[in-house]
Amino acid sequence: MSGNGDQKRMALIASRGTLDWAYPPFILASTGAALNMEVAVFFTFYGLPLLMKDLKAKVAPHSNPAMPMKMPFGSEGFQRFSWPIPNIVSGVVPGFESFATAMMKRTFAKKGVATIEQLREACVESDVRLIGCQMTMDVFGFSADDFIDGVELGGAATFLEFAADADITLFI
Amino acid sequence: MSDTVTTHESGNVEPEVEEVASKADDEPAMELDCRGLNCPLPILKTKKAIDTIEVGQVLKMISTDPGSIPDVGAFSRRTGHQIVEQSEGDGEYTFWIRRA
Repeated sequence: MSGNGDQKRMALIASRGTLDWAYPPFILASTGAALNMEVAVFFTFYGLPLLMKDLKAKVAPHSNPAMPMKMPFGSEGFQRFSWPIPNIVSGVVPGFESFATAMMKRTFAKKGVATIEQLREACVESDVRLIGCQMTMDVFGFSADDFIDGVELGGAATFLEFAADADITLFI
Repeated sequence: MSDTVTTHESGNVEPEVEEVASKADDEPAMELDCRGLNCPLPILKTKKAIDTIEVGQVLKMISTDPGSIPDVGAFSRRTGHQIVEQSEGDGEYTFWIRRA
């Protein structure tokens, strides 16, 4: 290993499972590892499905007024326009989440942003510890087979033992 | 371009590395094209690539992400890999990074 000898340690908690919120833990974890940090991420509650082999994370524009609704095609002016979608539409129209998810994925791909699967793979490759919450697994009825290889299962104590010596700790 | 760079750093603790870091070695051992990629992919790919070259060798990385300027600098400071030269033009940013 190269580096300056004093390896930093980062402990993250991923508690949210929508497509938009899936990015921060995986971006920070993979980049931390690239910066020679020792990284662990504890996936709990809605964050736990981010470890499933079949990643289904979607984005929900409903009740999220901060989310720009933009189209990944058309003229530049058209693409810059943020569509004012009222909650009554985003909450009632069938398939609106799937539509918004597809639009976000297309926009991200066009802008050269990695997919969640790519970032997750980068984490596995760079030995980021991916800890799935045992209690959440039991509550939601998942089994260990649902998760990608390399996931370890544990609880609050497992995470805290690592986090106790961390230089950076974030709850996402 | 790259042969005008002074490679000797006074703070270097490894004299052997300084030996290796002679002028001829400024020629990149590897080139990495990160054009079109966005944060954090240029950093992830740079890390992966630099791990495959020898200590003292240079990786040339080209990106179009303006965030590369602060981010490659941060990567260099955290990992110890040294930016021996960088340039920008036509919306492209080029870095020559020596593996530490």
